Amino acid sequence: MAENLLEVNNLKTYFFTRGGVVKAVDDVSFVMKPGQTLGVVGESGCGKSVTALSVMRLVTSPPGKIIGGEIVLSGENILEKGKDEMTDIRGSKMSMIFQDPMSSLNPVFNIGFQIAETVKRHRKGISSDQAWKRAVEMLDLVRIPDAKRRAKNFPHEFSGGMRQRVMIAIALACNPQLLIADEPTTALDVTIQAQVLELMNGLSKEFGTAVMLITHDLGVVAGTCQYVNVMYAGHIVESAPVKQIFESPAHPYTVGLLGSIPRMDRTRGEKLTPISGQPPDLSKEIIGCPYAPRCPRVQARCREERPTLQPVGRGNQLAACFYPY
Amino acid sequence: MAQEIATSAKEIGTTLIDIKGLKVHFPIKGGLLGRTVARVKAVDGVDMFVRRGETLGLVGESGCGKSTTGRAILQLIKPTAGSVNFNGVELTTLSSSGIRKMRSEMQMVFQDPFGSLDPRYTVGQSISEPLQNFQRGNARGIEEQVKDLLQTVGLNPYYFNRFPHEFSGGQRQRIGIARALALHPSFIVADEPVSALDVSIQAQVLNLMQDLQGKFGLTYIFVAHNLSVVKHISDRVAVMYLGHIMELADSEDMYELPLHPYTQALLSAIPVPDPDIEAKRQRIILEGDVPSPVNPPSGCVFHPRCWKAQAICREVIPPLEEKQSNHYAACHFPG
Amino acid sequence: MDTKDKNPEIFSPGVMFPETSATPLEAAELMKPGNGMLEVIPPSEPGIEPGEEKVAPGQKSPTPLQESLRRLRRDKRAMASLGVIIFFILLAIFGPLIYTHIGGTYQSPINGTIGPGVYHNPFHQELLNQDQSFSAMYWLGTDDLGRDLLARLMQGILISLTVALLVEIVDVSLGVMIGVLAGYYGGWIDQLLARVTDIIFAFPGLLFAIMLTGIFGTQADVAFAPIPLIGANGDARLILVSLALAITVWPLMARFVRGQTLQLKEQQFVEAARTSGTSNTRIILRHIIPNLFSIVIVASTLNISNTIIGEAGLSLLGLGVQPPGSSIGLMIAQGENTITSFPWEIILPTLVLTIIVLSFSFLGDGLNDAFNPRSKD
Repeated sequence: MAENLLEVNNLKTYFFTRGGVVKAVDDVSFVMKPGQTLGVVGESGCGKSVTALSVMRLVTSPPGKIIGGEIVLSGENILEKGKDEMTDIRGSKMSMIFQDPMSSLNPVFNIGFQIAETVKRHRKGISSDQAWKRAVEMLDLVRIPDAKRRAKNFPHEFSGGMRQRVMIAIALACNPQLLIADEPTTALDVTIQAQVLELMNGLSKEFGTAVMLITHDLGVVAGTCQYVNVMYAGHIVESAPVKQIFESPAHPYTVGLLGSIPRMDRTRGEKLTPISGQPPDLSKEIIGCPYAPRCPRVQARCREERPTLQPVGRGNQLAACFYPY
Repeated sequence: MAQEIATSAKEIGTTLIDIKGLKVHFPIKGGLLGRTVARVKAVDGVDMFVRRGETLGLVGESGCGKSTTGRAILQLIKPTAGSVNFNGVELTTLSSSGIRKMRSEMQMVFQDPFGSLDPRYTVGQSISEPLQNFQRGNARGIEEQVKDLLQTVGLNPYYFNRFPHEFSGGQRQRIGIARALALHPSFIVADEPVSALDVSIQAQVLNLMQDLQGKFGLTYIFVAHNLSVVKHISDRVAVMYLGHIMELADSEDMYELPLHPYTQALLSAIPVPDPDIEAKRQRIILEGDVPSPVNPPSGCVFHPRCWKAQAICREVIPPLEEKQSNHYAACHFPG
Repeated sequence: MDTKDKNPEIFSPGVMFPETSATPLEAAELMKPGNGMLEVIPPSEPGIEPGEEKVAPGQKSPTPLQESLRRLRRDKRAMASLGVIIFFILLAIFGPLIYTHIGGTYQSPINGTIGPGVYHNPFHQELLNQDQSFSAMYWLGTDDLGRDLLARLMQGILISLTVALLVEIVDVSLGVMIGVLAGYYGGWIDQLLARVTDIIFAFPGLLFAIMLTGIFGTQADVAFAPIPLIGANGDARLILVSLALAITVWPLMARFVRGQTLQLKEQQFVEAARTSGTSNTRIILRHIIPNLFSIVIVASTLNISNTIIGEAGLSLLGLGVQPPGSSIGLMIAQGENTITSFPWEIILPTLVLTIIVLSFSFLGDGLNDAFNPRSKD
């Protein structure tokens, strides 16, 4: 059994704002094995992005703070590491790409320079020439046509899809073991999305990079991920291999989510079944299961006790529910 | 869980809107004297018609011109050329006061739940605005109508003197829908009404729009980039690319048997929430990016990325023609 | 069960209407008391600061303006600055009224028996009491013509604030009006604004004001002299100074407003107003201008600091308010002569100028933070 690449244990990330304490991530635990693709799904405010930022220790502090838990990357708890050690880790052991590539790229430097910069930072002793060569190599890898020439171009000379590919190039330049992708294709057109996802899949297989893919799009998850964590109100409410999440979802939220999305492969005419109500206010104290107010299966126990992730009896499927499907 | 709604029960009538040769070109000014140096051909020759009571989905990726088309139909943007005939009235030749009068017949639902409501207006004031413009009653009467509308869209009418920032995205969209309904229009252009909403809220708003259509006999043009959503809500779908309509057909026909290569590529790119299907799918991956609408390719605008392209595609713009029953495609080699 | 019998007026506002998958027609049914409405936890939203006060049911929620003012009240530095400014305003207006009644009679060798009404007048000269230090009679001492410094200071502050007010009135009215029209309609108004701005920017502001007052100064004195209160005592120049400063600043405001208008024009709520049939005039008056309010107020507050310095500068150069009138700038100029013997003559007006200018700056900053809050993420 391969050793875990990433272990997140009881992670708690809270935001201390003037209006109250927002429990963005509230006791989250999961593991990732090397080379695995994990999908983290949920709607806005569920804590998926904050989880990713916490793993990278990029949470804006103040007002955010990781107040509890441990994040163990290849056996080392990175929450104990100092600032310098973290900058060493970011980019070489794990890297991240974001939704909007334009804000992650420096508009005044050309692309080749930005990739080479990362390489030089993490590979001691490498010369500028070699770093540049590696940059062009990476651009080729992410299928930017005419890589040698385009390495000298600036970010604004690339389209959205290409910029995202450049981001992937930067992120993978030093061969990290873990790539975190936070909604990487949400802002892209569907045909471009297909390109970028195919690329990510291919590269991850080729280099054995584990990918944590954060998204709200269940279709994307179905096509790229091996395991899925469904998050709601700062907790993981269901965790399972991808097939089981779709074929036999256990948590009512997952079921509700699947029932509310229009699908291309279904015939027209079936009315959507939306989930009633709103997600809860994370700055207020939540007693019991956070999904209780919207849950069609709610019972008295749900409003008093908070359920934790438990096996539901099929495969590696876990759900945080007292009355799973 | 899922209820069947009989789509045949929907009353689809005669043509309400007829659009011919619609063009919207935006000039790019440059040079010392501010001359027009180039044009953005956002919409470059669109023909279509919409029937009473139906939902026509207008779909395409960014830059295809779908939003501009929707606005041009409503005369929010002045078309550069073409005709828009609404219920017998030619909209493009109306004066601005004439257009303003027509506003009571045709309305719009906007994309941005945060930006489509004036943050300084209470929700009630935003919804009252159209009613006041058309003098649909005195203050008390208008307030009653506003409360009624809020109820119709599923919101508590007692919140009419609250401000937009106190509502969630989904609720704001409902307010926008209430505002669009205020004048009892027969036609609504919905411009990406659910794109900015969370998935579970999208479903709420989509259901609402369908119910309202049934209740009020509304005709929709539903502009969106999410093909799954469009398939769900539309009777017929038009696929746009670089300012042209590539394909126009009944929803089921379009998704089952797309004739235009672009539609085929588009449909193959959409992820489906089913890992088995996803694993087996053959994706058509298009090369390159969408060309700029300032300098669209000659002939068929899709030809540089089309795997079927031949010489004729580069030279002759294929017209939008009926290739099968009620199924139109603009392609020299459809199917 | 008892609550459901009560009047729905009391019952329903307390519960947020749940968004159910029920059809809207059924929604009306659910609204009626007794139908087991779910109590839904209030929404949490990206963009809304979590924990932002949820209004008690039935209460009218605060307008965005009230929210901004509430934020302003929390800003201690801004409130302190506001306090200082109010103090100076009251001092300038009511100070003289009070001061001229404080103090006993004085036997002046030159002017006979006089009361505080005379010797606490900023224009009254007691030539034998020149450059005196603080005393019971002259609280802040006298200047080189034996005039009470405190009285002159209060007069000077009044002048500074009046000029600032006049300038801002013109600045905001012209700036907003032309800026909005230029931004909203574009076309020739925009072109005109651009050219006017270019011309005015070609002249460095203060230099232009200097030119104006230098050329037309004496004529203005004559022309404006008949105006009550302001016209006499060399204060007529006030109007010219205000005009000169106003001309140099309004194009900046107009450009600023134009930029904001361009942005606002593209907002979907403006499009929605047009779709609702709202006329352009109404859109400008009801949608654009109210949304400009917050930035205009910040810009004009910050501009006041510049105006006060500008006026002081002009007066220092002798182009502003003329003697025997009083202005802070003038006081600074005159105080130069007695730096070694009685330094307070120059320190006091300088201090006052600094404090006023800083206060307006801080207030402007505070207003900016209050009206245009940056989200904390």
